[in-house]
Amino acid sequence: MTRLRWTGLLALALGLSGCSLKLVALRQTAALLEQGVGAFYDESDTELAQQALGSQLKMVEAFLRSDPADPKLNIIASQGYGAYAFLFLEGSKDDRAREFYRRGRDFGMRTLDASKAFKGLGTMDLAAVEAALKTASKKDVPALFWTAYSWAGWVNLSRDDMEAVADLPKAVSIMRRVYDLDPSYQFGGPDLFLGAYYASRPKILGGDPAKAKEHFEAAKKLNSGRYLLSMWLEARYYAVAVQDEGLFTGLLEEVRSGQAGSLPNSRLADEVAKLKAAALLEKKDELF
Amino acid sequence: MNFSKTIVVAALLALAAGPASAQKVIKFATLAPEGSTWMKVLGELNAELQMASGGKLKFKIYAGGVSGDEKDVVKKMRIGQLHAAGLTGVGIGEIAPKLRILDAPWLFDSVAETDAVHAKFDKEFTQTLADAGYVLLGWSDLGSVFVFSKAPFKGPEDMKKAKMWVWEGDPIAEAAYKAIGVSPIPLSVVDVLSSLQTGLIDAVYGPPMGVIALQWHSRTKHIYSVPMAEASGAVLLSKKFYDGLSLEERKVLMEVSAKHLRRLLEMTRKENAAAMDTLVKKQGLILSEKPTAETMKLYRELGAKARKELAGRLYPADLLVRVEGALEELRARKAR
Repeated sequence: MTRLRWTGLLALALGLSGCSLKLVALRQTAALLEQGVGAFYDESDTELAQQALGSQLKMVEAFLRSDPADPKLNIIASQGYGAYAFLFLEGSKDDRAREFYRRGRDFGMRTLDASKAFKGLGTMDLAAVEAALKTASKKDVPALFWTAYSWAGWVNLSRDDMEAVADLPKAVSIMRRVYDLDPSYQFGGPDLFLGAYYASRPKILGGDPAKAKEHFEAAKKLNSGRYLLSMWLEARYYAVAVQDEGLFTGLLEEVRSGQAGSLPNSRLADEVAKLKAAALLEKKDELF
Repeated sequence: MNFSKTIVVAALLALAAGPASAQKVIKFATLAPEGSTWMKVLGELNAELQMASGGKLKFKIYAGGVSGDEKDVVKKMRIGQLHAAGLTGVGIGEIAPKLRILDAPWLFDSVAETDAVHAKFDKEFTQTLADAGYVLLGWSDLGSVFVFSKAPFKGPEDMKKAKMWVWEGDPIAEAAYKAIGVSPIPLSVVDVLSSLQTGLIDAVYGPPMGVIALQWHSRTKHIYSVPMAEASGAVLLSKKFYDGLSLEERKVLMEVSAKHLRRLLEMTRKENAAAMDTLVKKQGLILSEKPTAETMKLYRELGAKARKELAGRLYPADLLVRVEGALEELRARKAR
């Protein structure tokens, strides 16, 4: 026992020289940051949150310069860019949103690239992606979710770019795998993603309003109907796809009058959902 | 369009528009989704139309197929629920089957030939559409149709061994495959992706952009380099709506539409080229080598046979003779 412990300590001491010492400090900071991210998503003031997320992202990127492979930091950056794009840019500044999604995808991909099973996932063909995904387990969910989320977000805003559009099946297949592994992740995020996906495509292109509805219903069960973005997404994609104006208005009014922050770490998203609901209601005439 | 330009347009409109009731709204359906090149060009067309008509005319666009598939859209146009639509050959065929000559197998060698036939037969096609109750605002072809397959194809013989898909009720592809001697498997478009996955079929056809949008590229590996046809498309307006416009409004609508839809046609051609490029360079599909002169000669014969088979069913035999004659003349002139 004692000898073992000594050997361990020695290895640690040897390993802690120079660059590695910095690395340990960085990794500790990353762990702290990971725990602190929740506080950010609990912010009720959307403007403060937007500014804070911007600075936090640059800080995370600064850390990543010294430790480009840190999986925790890469996931924080991936989630941060993806969330920033969706919460603060998409719909009003689509060009920036598109770029932020791209960064979100790339940081997520870095985490995946660091693991043996998913190395090169971004450039594989669909069959190889699916084969690699078979080995995924629940611990891979955050990296897979945020990569697919930003990847699809980027494609969605790049519909005039064939290179981007051609990648969509891969992003969707990653999210399908996340759905199998943990449908409850991010307030029923996989269901919301697939709901929006099936609702937003014409039937001839694989769109399926009935399937979309099932996913939105399932998400509602997972987040107890208390995650306001869930309803916003259903209005924006499903209600528009089936041209149900009553449902559209009803859902968005529900978002506007709903309680923000009734789930842990959902306050910011709920506040943004309220803003987005008001903006979307103004566009009703264009959509119906 | 950038933001400041939008403001200028909006301000001009506010000055020019007058009472809202005087505005005529053209309800327009398309399968193209928001954000696509199609929708961007339509948005620009719409902005210019509003400005040029002094705010009297505008499009209201139902994008992403929310108005249903093409058959639904044509029905809605007939009853006046919609006034205009971007249609593919399938929808055009519902309205004026004669125009499906443009989709005939192995008819055109290049887009220049397509353009030449559009121009030469413009009067006749316009009249055909007018008789059916529609006005042509512009051609919006979908692009050259290629065969995508799991196994490599060197020529028609290989297609006989494959499980080739044919769009249920697509007489054109049926005739093409019949000429080759292929017995294809008919399925609706929505079942194709899953059937590629299960192996019920292992070859499909479509223009590169369409194949990417339908995600069929993700389940195929090879692209056969000889296009089977040029998929036509057109933006049509109900004649009833058109007849309700003043002469000035008609002129503005036709001019602005022609200008932007011509641009859209060029952009779609470029986008198809980009699609092919990314399929080969980024998605890892393999484009077959250009076939020998002998194989090309074979396609000429197969094409003639397939097109003859369709004459009298889709388009009149005399139209086929005249279109083929015009193309021969064009090729002879080019060879000189």
